[in-house]
Amino acid sequence: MLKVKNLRASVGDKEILRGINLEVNAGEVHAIMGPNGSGKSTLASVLAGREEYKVTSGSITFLGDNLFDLSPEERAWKGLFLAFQYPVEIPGVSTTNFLKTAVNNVREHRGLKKLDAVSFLKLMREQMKLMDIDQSLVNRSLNEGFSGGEKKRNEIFQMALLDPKLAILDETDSGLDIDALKIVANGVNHLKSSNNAIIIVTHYQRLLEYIVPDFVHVLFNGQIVKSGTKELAIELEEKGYDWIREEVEGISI
Amino acid sequence: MTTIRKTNSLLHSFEVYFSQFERSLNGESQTGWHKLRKKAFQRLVENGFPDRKHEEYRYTPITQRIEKALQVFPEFDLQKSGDKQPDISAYLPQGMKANVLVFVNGIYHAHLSKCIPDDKLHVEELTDAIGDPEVEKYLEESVSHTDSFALLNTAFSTNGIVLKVSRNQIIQNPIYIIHITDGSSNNGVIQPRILTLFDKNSQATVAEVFFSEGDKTIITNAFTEIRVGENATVRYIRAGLENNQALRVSNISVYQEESSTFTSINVDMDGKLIRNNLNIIQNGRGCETHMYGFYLLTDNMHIDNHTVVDHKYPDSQSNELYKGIMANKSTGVFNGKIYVRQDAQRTNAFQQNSNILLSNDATINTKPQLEIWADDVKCSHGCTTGQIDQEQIFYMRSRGLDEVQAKTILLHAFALDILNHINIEELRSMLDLKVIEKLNNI
Amino acid sequence: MSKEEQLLKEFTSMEYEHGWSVDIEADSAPMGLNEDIVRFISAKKNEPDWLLEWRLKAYRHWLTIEEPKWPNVTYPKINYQDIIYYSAPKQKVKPENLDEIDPELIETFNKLGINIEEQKRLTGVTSVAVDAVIDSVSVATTFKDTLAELGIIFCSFSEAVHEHPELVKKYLGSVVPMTDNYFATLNSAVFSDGSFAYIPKGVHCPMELSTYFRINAANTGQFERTLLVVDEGAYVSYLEGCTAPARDENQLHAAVVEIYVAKNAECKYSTVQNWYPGNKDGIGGVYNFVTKRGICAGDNSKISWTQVETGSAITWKYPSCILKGDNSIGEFYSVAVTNNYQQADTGTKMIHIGKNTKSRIVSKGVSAGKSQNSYRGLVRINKRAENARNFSQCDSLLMGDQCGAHTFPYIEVHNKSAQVEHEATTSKIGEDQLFYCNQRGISTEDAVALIVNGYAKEVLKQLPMEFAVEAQKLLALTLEGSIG
Repeated sequence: MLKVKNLRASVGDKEILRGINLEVNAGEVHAIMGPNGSGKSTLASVLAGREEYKVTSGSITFLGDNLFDLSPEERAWKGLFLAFQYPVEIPGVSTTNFLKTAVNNVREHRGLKKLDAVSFLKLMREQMKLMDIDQSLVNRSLNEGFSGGEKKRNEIFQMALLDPKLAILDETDSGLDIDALKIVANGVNHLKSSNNAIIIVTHYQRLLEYIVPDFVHVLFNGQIVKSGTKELAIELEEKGYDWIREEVEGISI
Repeated sequence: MTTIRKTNSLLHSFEVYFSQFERSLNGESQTGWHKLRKKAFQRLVENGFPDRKHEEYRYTPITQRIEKALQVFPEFDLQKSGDKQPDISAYLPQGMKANVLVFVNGIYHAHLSKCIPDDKLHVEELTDAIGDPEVEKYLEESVSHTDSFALLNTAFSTNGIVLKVSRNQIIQNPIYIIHITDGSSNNGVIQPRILTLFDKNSQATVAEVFFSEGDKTIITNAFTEIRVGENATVRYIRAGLENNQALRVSNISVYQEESSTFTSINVDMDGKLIRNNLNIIQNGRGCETHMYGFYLLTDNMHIDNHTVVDHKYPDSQSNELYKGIMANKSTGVFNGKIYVRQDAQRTNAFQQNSNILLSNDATINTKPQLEIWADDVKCSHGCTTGQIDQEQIFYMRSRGLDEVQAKTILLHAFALDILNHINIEELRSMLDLKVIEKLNNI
Repeated sequence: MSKEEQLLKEFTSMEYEHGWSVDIEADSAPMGLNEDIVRFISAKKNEPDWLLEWRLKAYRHWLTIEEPKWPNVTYPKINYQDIIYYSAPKQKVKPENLDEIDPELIETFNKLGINIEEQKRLTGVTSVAVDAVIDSVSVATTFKDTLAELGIIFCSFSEAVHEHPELVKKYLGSVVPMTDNYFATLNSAVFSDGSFAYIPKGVHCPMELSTYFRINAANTGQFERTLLVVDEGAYVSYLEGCTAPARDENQLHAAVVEIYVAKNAECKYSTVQNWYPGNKDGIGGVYNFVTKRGICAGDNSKISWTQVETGSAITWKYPSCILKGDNSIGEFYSVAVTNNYQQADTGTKMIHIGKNTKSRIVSKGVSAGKSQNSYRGLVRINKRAENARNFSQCDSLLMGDQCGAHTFPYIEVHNKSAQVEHEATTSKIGEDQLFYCNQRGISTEDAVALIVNGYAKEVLKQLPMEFAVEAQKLLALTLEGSIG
């Protein structure tokens, strides 16, 4: 589904990703872990097509297409979804109206019929239950004045509505209390199927107790330095990242 | 043009006055300086004095008031009245340690002034500073000022001062400038002029305080220019404590260079008609400007504050808060302009004007104005006019305060918001006492 | 793309849709302005002497005054002798029924989205009564009979002059005096036609009354005059729509609207102003110099102005409320969008005279391209206006760094019990907001439309649901927010 080959990217003059290789297939859950500043969020941003990030070399194919040829919205239409670490507030635009526009744009490009107001509301209500989203929340302006937990739940709620092929959850667990974390995890597990894939970007193992990854990658200094299974995540949680640093720096000497 | 037609009589008086002035200069009338004066006067003649149709003076009939006050136009030699030797200590706040500079009727009096040697403040009379290319350059620039009163000051400029703070110099003690207007013997027009130059990385606090004596009509037309150099920090306090005869127009022109910080605090509580034009131009990136103002008006007073902050370069900010209380038959005017030019991206500008009216015969005219040509900016302004919060009064009364006490406490707190920004403790206490005294008499 | 987005896209990026012109034979006055032209117009309309005298008085006064210079707009000097002051589509006196109307005219209105024939069939359903004004004259008024049953008079201004002279005489110039300002005075001298409505005591007008203005002929100024009188306890909602053909020269539109609202009565006045704004390089377009004012003459009366301003090369317009009656209410809701080289200087005046009067101002400016968008408003609380309240919110949204947004609020308070609040903010559409939308599959263009729509929602919500025809597209906008 997703093939990242030797990806290098920088912001301004600073190179952040230094040769990433990653392959994700349908039905898989990948966790990308690493200390702060290792490039996790940069990778998520590059996948979604944020312009400030300059790709200097390498390639990414997504469902057979060169990802770099696609605009951010074309990526979304094709089924790439990024749950933002810091969801943006858009005053004046009601969440409902925003979602209806997004859902119908995506449907249109997937060859599906647009939903009228009634069927959209029906779909929305179903998914609201799943994510424990209150009616008053969707009546409000998008993310405006939402608590941190509400914003994160709203992201997964949007994921449910847009039904992506590949979802990238960028630090979705940060700032969540345990109850909110469970809701988010339940939502994600519910959406997981053999047809889609999920990349979880995090630096805690906590979320991975609820969403069990098939693969865990450790990102360090812009490279994936170690890959393994969920046991690797547990090891990281126990030992921290220092042993990875030592290992890597040991190698480089 | 209508402006000229209507203000002809005042202009004509000044034309006569100007030729008297030229004669008094004797051989000096051919110098470069005088050519500038003539140019300024010519521009004044072209512009005329502002009448009520003039957008900048629509709420303040200053020209008519001056015309009326000067029905019998003063003798040219009013400056003689400044020969008296006032007791300066009467004008100084108790216990203040400062560099004291004294103007009497618009003329700098070196022998009355006293600086603290350690501060190494450089003060020069304008007549001596002529020849300094920097001073001449700024003098020449002032000829293109758009305000008629600023031009008038330039046209008659003689006895001002130039104040210089050199690179990296930090003036520890405040620079305290006293203006004494002596109207005990003659009517007249006085034109104090101050040029302050703060070089790179310098730091200072300047205060200008206005007093008046006597019951003759003296019109003060003040012009203060402040050049804030790169990365310099200047605090500027201006307070009016004149008697109820005072008619004063002030032009304060500020030019800020890159990364400089300028803070202005303006307090007016007295006078018959006061007009302040505070114009601040940010001439470099990363400038920071703060403007605070408080006005407390009683009787028939008329106080008008016009401020402009012109953001021309990126990454700058300005913050403005003006508050006023209008009692009796007084009229307050506020006009704050914020310009954000096309290049001034990432500017943050905030402006707030709050007013309290204490009488139905009092008036406030306010016009907070935003003009923006850049898109990546955060600007907002707000303006409120109301009376004292009756809920708060009620709360205090229910705790045993009487209504007058409660009101005074609330109004005093309203004023303190501004006064607290004055960093010369002694001056602040003096003004604070004055506020309390005035509030007790409303 | 949903309807509302489509619409907003039109707001911001579309070329002018109504730029066509129709070849209708017109009956015009010679170019230029003098007393004879004023007499010519009056004679054409077969007016009584008192009205001719009124016009001449206005004309003579106009000669003594100067064009205002204070608005924040620039344009070349207008040569008032280069304008045709009267142009009427040539046709039979006044059509008895729709079959007699020039088919070209009907075609014109069909193009505008106003189907006059359709209108006829819709009788009985809540709908919109339309008075259509082309160039200088009113050409068709629909639903007259239905309205007449309720005692409502809705007709062209010229018709009112003949059939209800007592009403016209009483109210003409009572809200906007003949000497009010340069353009209002000019209008008083040369106004050609317009709409007149009278809602009698206690009648709640069951349908929207609407006037569509269209400038067709070249070099023609349009000087219509609208007079609405809402008697005690009555209610009316009035709509106005405007379009003009795309022409390289500038066209002058100097209209006057007067509204008189009696005790316990209410008038809601909505405008969608879509005059030709000029092309991308700022060539051509309408100069829209309009005086609109209403008076809440009686106690507990209310006037509400809603305007959506997207057109005109230059807009100079301040729909105002004189709040004379105690407890009267004035409202002003405005969205002004400027693009390319458009200039708008618009806002309102709220004059509080009566006790407990309230006013509310919500102004949303959107500037794009190289345009300049100014809000200018006056709130005056007079000395006897005890307990007056005003709240003003003036926001600006900037799109691109070539445009300007300006706010000039004038606040004059002469009574201590007044509470006046003014707030203004400036914002732009942020890159991060656009990227977020993109990531959810919404293209940048749609995202901009969505954000602008959200930004202007508070005003768009004020437009009446029945805003038919041209404004029908706008319904999608007003529905926004009612879903979910």
